Amino acid sequence: MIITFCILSVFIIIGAVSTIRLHNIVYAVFSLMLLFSAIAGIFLLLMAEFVAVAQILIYLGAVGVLILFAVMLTHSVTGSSGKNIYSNGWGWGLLLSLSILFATLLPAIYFSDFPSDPAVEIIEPSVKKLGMEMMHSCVPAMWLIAILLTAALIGGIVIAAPPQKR
Amino acid sequence: MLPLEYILILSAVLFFIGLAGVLIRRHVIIMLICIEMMLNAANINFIAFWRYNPNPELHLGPLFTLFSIAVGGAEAAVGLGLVIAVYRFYNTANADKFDMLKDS
Amino acid sequence: MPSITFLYWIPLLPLVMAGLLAFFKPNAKRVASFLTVATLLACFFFSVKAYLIDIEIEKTLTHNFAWMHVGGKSIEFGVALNSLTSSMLLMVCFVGSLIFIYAGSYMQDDERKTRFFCYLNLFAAGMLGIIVSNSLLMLFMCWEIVGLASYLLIGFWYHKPSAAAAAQKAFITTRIGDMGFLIGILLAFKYSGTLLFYTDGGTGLLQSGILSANTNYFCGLSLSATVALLLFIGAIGKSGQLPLHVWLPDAMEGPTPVSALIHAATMVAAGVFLVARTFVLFEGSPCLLNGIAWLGSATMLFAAVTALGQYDIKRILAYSTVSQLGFMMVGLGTGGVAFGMFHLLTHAFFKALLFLGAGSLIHGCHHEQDIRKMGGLLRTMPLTGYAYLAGMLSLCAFPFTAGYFSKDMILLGAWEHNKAIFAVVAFSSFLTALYMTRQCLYVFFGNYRGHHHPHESPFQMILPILILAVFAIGGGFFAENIHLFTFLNPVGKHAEHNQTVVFVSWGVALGGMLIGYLFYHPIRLRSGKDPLACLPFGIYKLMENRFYIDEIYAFTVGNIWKAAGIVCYLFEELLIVIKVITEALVNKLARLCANFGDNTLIVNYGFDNTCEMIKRRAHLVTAIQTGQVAAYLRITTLGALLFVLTFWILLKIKI
Repeated sequence: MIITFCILSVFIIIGAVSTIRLHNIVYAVFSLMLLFSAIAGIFLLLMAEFVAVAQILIYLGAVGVLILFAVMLTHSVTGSSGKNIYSNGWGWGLLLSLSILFATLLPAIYFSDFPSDPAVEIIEPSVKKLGMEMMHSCVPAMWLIAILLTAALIGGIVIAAPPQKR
Repeated sequence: MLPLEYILILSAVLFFIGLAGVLIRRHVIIMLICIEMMLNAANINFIAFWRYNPNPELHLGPLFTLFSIAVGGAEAAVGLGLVIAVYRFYNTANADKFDMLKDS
Repeated sequence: MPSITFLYWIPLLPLVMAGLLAFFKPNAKRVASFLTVATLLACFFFSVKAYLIDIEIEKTLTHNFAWMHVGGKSIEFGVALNSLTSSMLLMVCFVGSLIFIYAGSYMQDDERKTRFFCYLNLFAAGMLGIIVSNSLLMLFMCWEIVGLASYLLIGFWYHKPSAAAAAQKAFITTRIGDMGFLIGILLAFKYSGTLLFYTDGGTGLLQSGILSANTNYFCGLSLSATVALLLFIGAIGKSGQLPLHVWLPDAMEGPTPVSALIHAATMVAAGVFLVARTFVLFEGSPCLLNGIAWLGSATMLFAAVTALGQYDIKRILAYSTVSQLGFMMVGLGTGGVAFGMFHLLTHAFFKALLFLGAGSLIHGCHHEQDIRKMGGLLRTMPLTGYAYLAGMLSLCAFPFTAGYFSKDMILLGAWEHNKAIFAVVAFSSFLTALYMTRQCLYVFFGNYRGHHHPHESPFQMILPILILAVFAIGGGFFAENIHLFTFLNPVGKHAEHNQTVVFVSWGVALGGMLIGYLFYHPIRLRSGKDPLACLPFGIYKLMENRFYIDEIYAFTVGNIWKAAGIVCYLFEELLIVIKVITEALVNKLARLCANFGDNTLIVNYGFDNTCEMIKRRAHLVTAIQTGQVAAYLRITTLGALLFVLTFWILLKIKI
């Protein structure tokens, strides 16, 4: 199990770092997709099958393709970003994120007691249970998500639509 | 087997990389991608904590994660729509060039 | 105990039909009128069923349900069935069906007729709701529905400004009465905790609710009498008693079926019905009943006199309605429920007959409404003419017509109660006969004085008139046969026959007709001037102009608002003056202070220099606003980091 985890985490780190360091945007998006797949693997490892499949469907299938489309629509004719891909003052940004990592996240993990083994060995794969949970106690949330998605997508279309010629 | 801390460290590092990407890169689409990366790090956290929970039968972890994925998808859609609109105006995707709000 | 839940259908059917008709095309050929008549015939069927149930059972049947719970109390609605309900239901449904059949033909050429029938259904729903309701609140709601429907119907031809104004006048005037009604409801609810008239447990408003309450609650009236007075104020508005009668004559702007329905048979009778329904509250206070009788008699006299001076055929009938409503109130005040209700039922028949006949006459004379321009119509429109004459005889209480029996009752009651009221009422009956004879002589006899070619009306308009004529004449015998009087008031007073009263009643009716014939002989009418104009002191001018009551109202009420406006204007002027004075004072003060200190020191060096310094150094602060997205993001992240750290450290310190 640890070995699987290590392999998957290697893929995750490679994917993430490549995303922020590649000059070519399309390659960056591809490494993002590698990242998403590895994360789906982690979900499978943690016995959340439904979420893993949802991750593949939504992030790989929908969001990734969406990003690719957006890249194609905003690609400058003069080529990729040029020599410098980092914004002005990138050092401050790096410093900030490092400080968040080392000052808040890692100490939080080190100073807490966490179980070293999962409490329940095997979780029954149960989409039915998930569905019941969703449709019983989380129905308002489902409604809200439906409305939110509808509104967001319509809004996105409206924003991105070309200005109408009178 | 697999201590919980390992997974949490992984998600923390992933979060850090995403954050660094947002604050460092110039291209707006890469910024949006890195935000998605941060969301995924949080999702890993949810599932990890759910897995190591004494009673995971309620399936609350995956449930919340599903909502998080849905919201992330919606946000990506809107963000990319905005990017396209802004690109149409500035004709570049370089965030340093978006300075209309600058105080002259 | 038979179930009476079918009574709920009686107001509901027309309501549903009104909602349905609202969606039809405005010009659908015959559908709307057919559906409307069918609905009301269904209601008539239900009311016959109710009557049959009611004959068997002595007491009042009810069916109530709680509508909503407020605080600790509950507001309840329900239906009640007793003799009052069933008789009124029969009358309204029967007369209503006939009027609707008439309206189908009268409104045939109108382009908005579907909407008209929609409004008629709404009105029927409200009126029937008033009748069957067992709850004071439900009655009030249906009361308001009826008021709304009357507004819509009177102002149906809204492009005529006079019609629109008349509709508004009707609505607002009845509203004034409704205010008193509402206060009465609130008072009743507060002291008895229930709004129902009758309950099975005997706790209804009319059973024990507020009847046993304290005496001398308000100006010597007991609590139940105060509530009764307030409810009566509502009846004043709706039934056109003296101060608030001004809307009835103007309401003739509406189409004739509307006048027949609303102002003859049903809506104006709603006030009388309300008093009859809650009569138990009135009974305990003879002072209040006396007041009602006097108000009724004053109304009757006033309206009868005014009717003598009118020339519009519908307006004469309108004032006649006001007068008869006063008569009904006299009946209620002196005799009791049966007296007033009996006259209400007969009046509905012959007044509806008169209005429908007038509509037929107007239709036949091509929308001519002035009686001076009619004449000799008995020859050209015989069916309408004879039916109209039957109605007129009934209204004048010609012996052995339906109107005679009911009027006789009220005269008997008035004689036993108070001779002065009897005198006023008898004189007003004389005037009634007089003006009706006048009208008929003008319209039906002599030679035709107009410019059109009158013709008889279509069959669909004649049929209801003929049916009503039968009832107007024969209604008296019909009522005697089914013992209507004892039916209406099984435990009430029974008037004994009195020779003097019978003599006076015959004399008044026949004498009025005789004198009318003498005055308004057809030959005299040719001169064009009204024979009564020779009365001294310009009384005739007063009658013709309706005693200038409308003008008085406009003058007083209008000027009150003008005065209010002037008060507000003066107040505002006062404020402005205060403001100007204060400003001047403050300026003077400021200049004094400025001259005291050295303003160059304070203003120039202190104030100006500070501003300069801020301006020069400001660019340091605005350097943050670079307009760069990335920079903003970094600062946001820095803020988040600091926030989390602070929060964490604070937590750690606490722990």
